[in-house]
Amino acid sequence: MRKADIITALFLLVTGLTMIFVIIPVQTYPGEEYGVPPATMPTAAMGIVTAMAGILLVQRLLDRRKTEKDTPSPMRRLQWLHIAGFTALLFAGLAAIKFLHFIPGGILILAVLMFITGQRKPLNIILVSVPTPFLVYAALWYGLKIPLP
Amino acid sequence: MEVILAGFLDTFSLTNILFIFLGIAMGVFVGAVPGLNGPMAIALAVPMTYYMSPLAAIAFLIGINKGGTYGGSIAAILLNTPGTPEAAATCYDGHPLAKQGKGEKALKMALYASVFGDTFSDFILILVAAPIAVVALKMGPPEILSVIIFALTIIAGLEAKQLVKGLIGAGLGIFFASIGMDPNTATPRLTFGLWELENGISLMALGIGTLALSEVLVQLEAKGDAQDKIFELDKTQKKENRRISLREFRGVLRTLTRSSLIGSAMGALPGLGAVIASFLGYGAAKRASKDPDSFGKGNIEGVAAAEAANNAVIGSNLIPLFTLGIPGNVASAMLIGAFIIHGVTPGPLMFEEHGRLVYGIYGGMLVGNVLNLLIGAIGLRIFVRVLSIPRNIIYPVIIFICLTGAYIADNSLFAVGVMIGFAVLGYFMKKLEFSFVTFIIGFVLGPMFEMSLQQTLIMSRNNIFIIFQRPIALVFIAFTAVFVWRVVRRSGKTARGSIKQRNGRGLS
Repeated sequence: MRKADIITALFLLVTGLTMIFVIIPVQTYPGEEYGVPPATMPTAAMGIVTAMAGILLVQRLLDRRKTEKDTPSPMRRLQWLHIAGFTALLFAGLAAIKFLHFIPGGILILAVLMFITGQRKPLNIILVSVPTPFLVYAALWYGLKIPLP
Repeated sequence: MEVILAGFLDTFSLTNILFIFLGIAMGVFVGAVPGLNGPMAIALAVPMTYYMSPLAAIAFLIGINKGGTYGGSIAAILLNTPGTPEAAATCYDGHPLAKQGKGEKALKMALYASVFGDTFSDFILILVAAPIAVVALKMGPPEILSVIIFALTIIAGLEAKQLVKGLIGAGLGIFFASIGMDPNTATPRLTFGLWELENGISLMALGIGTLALSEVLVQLEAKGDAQDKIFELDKTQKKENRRISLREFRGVLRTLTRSSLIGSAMGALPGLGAVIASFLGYGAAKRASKDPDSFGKGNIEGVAAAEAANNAVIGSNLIPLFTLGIPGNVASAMLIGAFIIHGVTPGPLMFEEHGRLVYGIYGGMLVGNVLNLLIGAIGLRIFVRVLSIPRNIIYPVIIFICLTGAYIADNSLFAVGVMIGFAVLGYFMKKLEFSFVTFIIGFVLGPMFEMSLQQTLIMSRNNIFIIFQRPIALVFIAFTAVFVWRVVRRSGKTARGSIKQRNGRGLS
């Protein structure tokens, strides 16, 4: 955890400084004399993040205890693969809804997700993935008049 | 008086009662599944409330919270795995009771205690909120600013394992809240040329991503689909092992009242949530008991203490929201989204501008308690069945609902993309022990913070030190300073303790 904290703090420190000195000035209009200029809030918020990341970094660097054995790193190879895989899958699902529309896209997403999470019985996959988007669509469109793609 | 009566009467329309019923049933269902919880369900349900009346929408969402908090006890008792974090203390005595064949008795006590704590805290809200709102109306921008600083610091210090990580969460939340139009100059800010960002980031997309989807992503990491051993309800057991007699209920009445008081007090303070309340309630009951050794081995009083305390947080949690517009926890933060959807700004003015709605909500909460009791008692065996639904069915369906919810919140696929982005951020925050609670509350309070800061600076001609010249603001700033000092001192002591321990080990 100590190593993970150091890497996270470094990442936040660099991101915070980049935001404060590069991105926020470019992405905000110059302020007026009256009231708070537009850049104040994001700069203050990023200032808190950067300062706290600096404190966290110093704390962890000064902390010479080898805590790695007690608390293993929360992000190992498997976790990176897990989150990367699911993120890709979710964005693919988003594309499926966009191009195939809600019901066919929904059926596809549900079927793939069920398979990936370990459901191997085709009947179960069909029984859940097919009616669910229809039911959600019907409930939202006919019940609450909410339009879906 | 007319407004109060009209508000309470509004609750009794068939539609409102139906939505409260649905909310509670949905809450118990979600709460019963380990890994899912009330705030997550509220985040998912808020977009569905767009087309409901304000009263039906808020009562529906509060119903989810009530049901979800009670639902957590089902898995805690029968699985020894708390369905929601606040049910962790219920495991201590609930599960041993289930092992002894008294699962149904424990579940019934959890239900009665939940409804008792809930009702107690609702009455406290009803009695206390309006008078506090009158005082709150006299507060100006510097006072509001100091209250926000105080609330954010307390939440950061108590929610996160470390104050530093809590404050990083709050800072990130405020930063994301600043994306969109600048309120003073009406110019786009940090939108990167994307018109979809000009209205800011949708609270619903952020809430669904960080609360619901990220949690499912974390839960899906658990290997396989191994279901834990469920202690089924045994119909062949004697009546006394399945029921709570009036005598038994009277026996725990003192515990219920004590826990409800603890829970209500914890709920009224920002950051001190149901988890702390349930452990404090349990601890207090154990200390006060004539037989403290029986706690942890299947004492029904332990279940009553934990459940009354965690449910007593629900009503009182709305005190800071209704009186100051400040959410005390994530569920209240999500409720703010629902209020805003319906054109209501939570805060002291709500009593003046939407008095009838406020009293309608109070009525809805009380009706909700009766319905919770009925649904819990009648549907007990059905909700127990929820525990046996395979994860590879329930989680994909929730992911699909997350995608749908984010879409209907903003009517755009862009919001779905934003929601996925925040799910990934929430996943990392959970893994790296950063507080996503302070993140969400920071996001909700960000615009209010900016507005108060703007007004304070304008009224004081850019003199921020005005907050040290106003008595109420000064009190809150002093509280904040004392709190930070105590947290820093406590962490220093903990660090010194570990160094001493290490040196001791090294010498031996």
